[in-house]
Amino acid sequence: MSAPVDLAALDSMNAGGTRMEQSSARQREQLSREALRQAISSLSPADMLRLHKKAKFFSPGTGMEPADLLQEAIARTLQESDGRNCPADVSVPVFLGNAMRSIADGERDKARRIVSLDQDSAASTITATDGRTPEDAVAAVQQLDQIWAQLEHRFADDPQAIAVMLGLAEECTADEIKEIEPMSQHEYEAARKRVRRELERLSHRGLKQ
Amino acid sequence: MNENRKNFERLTRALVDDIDRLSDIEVFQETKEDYRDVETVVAAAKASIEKGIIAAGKQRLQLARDGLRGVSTNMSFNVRSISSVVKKQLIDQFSNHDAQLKGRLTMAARNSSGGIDDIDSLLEDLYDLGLIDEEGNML
Repeated sequence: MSAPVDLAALDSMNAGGTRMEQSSARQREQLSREALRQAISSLSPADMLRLHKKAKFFSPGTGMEPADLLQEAIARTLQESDGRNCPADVSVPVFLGNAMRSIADGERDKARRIVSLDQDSAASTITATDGRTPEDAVAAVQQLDQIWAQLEHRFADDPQAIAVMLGLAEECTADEIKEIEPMSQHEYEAARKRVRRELERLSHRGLKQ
Repeated sequence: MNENRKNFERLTRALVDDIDRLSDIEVFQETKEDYRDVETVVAAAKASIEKGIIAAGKQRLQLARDGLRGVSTNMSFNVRSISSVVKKQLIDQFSNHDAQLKGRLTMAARNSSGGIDDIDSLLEDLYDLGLIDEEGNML
């Protein structure tokens, strides 16, 4: 598990006594940009691997490589208005995971809009400002359909995994899922892990190596 | 929203928390199952992180440069748009009533490398004091 950021250590990184004297409740609650940058630079190898996994999780349907999604999340986070947008009691991997999810949601919306515009257009000449063509957008949208179909196919003979997969997609609780498909807590956790691991394997090609 | 997209997003949202709950050992084990060479994956993730930090730094530097350029442009634009003839007339008019200013301008004239900047700087001061307008007219 990733530990929350050590506030005392981060405060000591802030240069100059003046800034420390000005430390307010707001500064206590949220990291300064410099503290956030330091925290990101100091991520442990295990936390880097967690971010790698999350990037793979969120990149499908965006048209972005997982590595690019992770890079973009960090760049945008550090560019934010005053950089004081990361709550100090939230671990950096969790915060960056949320940032990646938010970017991914936006990119999927963008891909969907490009596809819609292209379908409405007589000529297939639409190109997004980021250079994405309608073909790229269609491929991104189709990727989610393909992954979902592959998941259903993979677990066709695994009723517990299918129950977890469809149940979570319907925002059911663990108890509700176990009621639909009777299984013990241990079996539920094992099925949940199978779904997550398969989703990780199917989701993109991983970071460029 | 497309049904598969909705399902996918809800599923990943639910399962991503499981990644945070994994112990460090479990994270390494799973990565080894997927890639065998864990160190290479760590290095790739680290490279992405560093690129993100560098990209943010470059963006902030560019914003700072744009800001400085904007300030500089705003400050010097009016002075540079004034013709040298008008500048000379203005300097003459003000320096005739100010011996100290006249002395500074004489020094500026002797120093060819810094003379123009010195005069422009004086005109900016006059503008800031409200003694001339944007076109160099005395107020």
